[in-house]
Amino acid sequence: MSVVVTGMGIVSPIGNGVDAFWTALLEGQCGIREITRFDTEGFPFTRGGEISSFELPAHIAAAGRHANLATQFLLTAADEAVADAQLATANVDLARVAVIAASNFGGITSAEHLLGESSEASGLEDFSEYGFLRSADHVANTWCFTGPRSVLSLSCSSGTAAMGLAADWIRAGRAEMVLTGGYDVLSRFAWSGLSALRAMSHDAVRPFDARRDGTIFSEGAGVLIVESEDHAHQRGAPIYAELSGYALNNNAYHLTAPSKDSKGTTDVMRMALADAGMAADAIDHVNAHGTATPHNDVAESTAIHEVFGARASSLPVTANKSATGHMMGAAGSAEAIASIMTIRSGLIPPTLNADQPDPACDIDLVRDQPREHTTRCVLSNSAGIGGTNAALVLREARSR
Amino acid sequence: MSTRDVVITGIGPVSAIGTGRVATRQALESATSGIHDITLFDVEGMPTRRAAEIRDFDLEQILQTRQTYLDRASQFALGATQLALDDAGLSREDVANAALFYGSAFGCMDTMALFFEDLVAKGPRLVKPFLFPHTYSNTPISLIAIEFGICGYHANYASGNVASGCAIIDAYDRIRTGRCDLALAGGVDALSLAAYEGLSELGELSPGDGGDECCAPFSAHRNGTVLGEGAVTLVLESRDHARARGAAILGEITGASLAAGVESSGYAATVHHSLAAATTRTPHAICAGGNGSVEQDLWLGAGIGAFLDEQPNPIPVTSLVPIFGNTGGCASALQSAAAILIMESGVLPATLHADNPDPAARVAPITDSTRGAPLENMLVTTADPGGTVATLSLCKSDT
Repeated sequence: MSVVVTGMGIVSPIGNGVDAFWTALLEGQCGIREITRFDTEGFPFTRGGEISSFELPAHIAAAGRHANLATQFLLTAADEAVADAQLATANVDLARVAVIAASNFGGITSAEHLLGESSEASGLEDFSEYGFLRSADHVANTWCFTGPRSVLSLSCSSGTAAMGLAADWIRAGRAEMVLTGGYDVLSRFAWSGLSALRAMSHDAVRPFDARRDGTIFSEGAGVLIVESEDHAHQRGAPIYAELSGYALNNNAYHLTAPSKDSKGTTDVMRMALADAGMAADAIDHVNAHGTATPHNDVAESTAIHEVFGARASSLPVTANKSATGHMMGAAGSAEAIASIMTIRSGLIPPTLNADQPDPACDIDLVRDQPREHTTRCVLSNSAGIGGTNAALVLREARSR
Repeated sequence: MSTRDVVITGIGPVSAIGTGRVATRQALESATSGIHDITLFDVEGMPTRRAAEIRDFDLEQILQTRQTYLDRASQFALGATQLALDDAGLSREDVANAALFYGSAFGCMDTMALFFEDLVAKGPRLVKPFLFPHTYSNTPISLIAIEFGICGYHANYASGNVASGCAIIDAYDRIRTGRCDLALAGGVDALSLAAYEGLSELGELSPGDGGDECCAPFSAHRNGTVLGEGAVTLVLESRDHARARGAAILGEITGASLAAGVESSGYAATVHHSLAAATTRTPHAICAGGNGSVEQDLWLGAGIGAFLDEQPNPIPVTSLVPIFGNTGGCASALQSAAAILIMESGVLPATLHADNPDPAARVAPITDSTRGAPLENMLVTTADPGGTVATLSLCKSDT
């Protein structure tokens, strides 16, 4: 059974809405700025991908007003995706529309007052909004989706994993359509922890660059509507791309330190290709995890060589995190959207801040300008704390 | 699509009533409650003084780990997994490529609070970096993968009180559709002061009405839930895979349903639908996740009642929450493990404190344990307050 993407929506540090997001990626805009939402006094890092301009759409404002900001990001991206997929007007059985959300920290701001942080916003509702499943509940309640729902949390592999699980649910007959989305919000809790891990940069996100010294975390939400190809054709929905395959695994090595080989990353890419029924030479472009940490980028480059062999040095790669920052649970979703836009436009957005290639990362990184490149198939990588890995294969929609 | 039978070949339970299959089965047979006075944290001045707290758990008695720090939830998860592997006769080499599915509602809230205390008290530069990776929702499952060298498919569910149900259902799907032969699936939740205070703030804990503190599912005098903690890892495999390695089959998952409703429609119909969708054989008993919640027991009971109305014969209903406590995301896995043990022993435990059923809840759970009645098929259903319901159909081993 072919599973396809029929709607997309996004809230990101470089723009809200797929058009704004994509334009910003092509133009090389960067969403990293000084954090203003919480007091960064005393923190070693004060710049992040904070979404500076955000408002719940008026028609869902009532539904989402009690939700915390993380869930509001998810609802806003979902709103765009639902409209994009023409769900409101289509003849869709809402009892067969499922929701799979994914996040690193869920509604963390609703629990900070219980963890020791005094909060002006603390209220009796807060803890009920902390639960990760609550975000999926909000989505379901807003559009009356009464298919099954679940929330994955696999650190920064979350968004990619959710897409794969969505495809599984459709193939297993548990749903006809799935609204799947990754989301996360910057919080003092997360910022203090991520700062302490020493994985961040004071400078910029420079994927695969010789000067790279870490990533910069950000926030947002990316939502995709997924359904079977037959279902999409039956209801006349435009198809963006095919979700051809995916894989998840774990390095089984350490919570934070990368494994000494790239086996986990290599294996997850190969398994995703196998799941898609594709050989490696079918891939035209890799959307990298590309966090710009010293270890990740070498490991990922090595894995790309392991999987693609001689083609690796000429297979175009880009790293969206250079522009958006690391959107945590939303990263995989945002990068899937970027991958699909590349398939549809034939343009690969540039990786920012990376004009001094690291010889240890011998890949064909798209820099400076968008590159025209006929792209039928993309492989998108993600990885996270705990040694989680995820890979997704997206392919151009087939014409009927 | 042809599908395969999914069998259970190992059970690793850790709960307030015991560690390991034998202790858990014995406690279920005697319907012994694990709810006692809370000693884990100070509840002075709080209305709720009791929980099903796991006492005397020593991970070192189960496995030797090189980890120098482990959140309470992680300790339970590792212990449950080693117990499951021992029960199934599997070595670490055997599970190197197994799929791993785990779920939790609250994850590692204990360590989250520990980490955050330093931020508040000492400032951002004096937090303990080593604690932060132990605060993630996926920390327990990652530690399972690291400890046992499991590099295969890896999925972690933060799906509230149905988290482990989601994990088991997706594991079941993956095996039955032929995408893997062997999976470990389960869940964990540990008591933490933060979650306890949060739920207490919301009025969810007994005695929400200032009366007597008690976990009384579906009862007219119910006044809130009582927390518990635990971890369960189940070993699931295709029947062929189990037979090929000569594994003892403890039971089988014969059906599963994950259903969800919306506030505007209420959730009773969701429960009814979930039970019906999961049923592949007429159940001899239903293990319902009634937890003493004033609101949730109402719609959970109404849904079960509607399902029972359609059955040709009466089906006994029981809730194990007065025994295990409300174990959050672990509940589905714990009740599933319990169901296998119940069918093995032939003893269906009574629902404690349920002698005054609420007619509006439409369920009168058994108040005396039953022995000798057929117990070869059971439905296990758990629900999240937000309207998601996970139901598993389990049957007794046929070997």
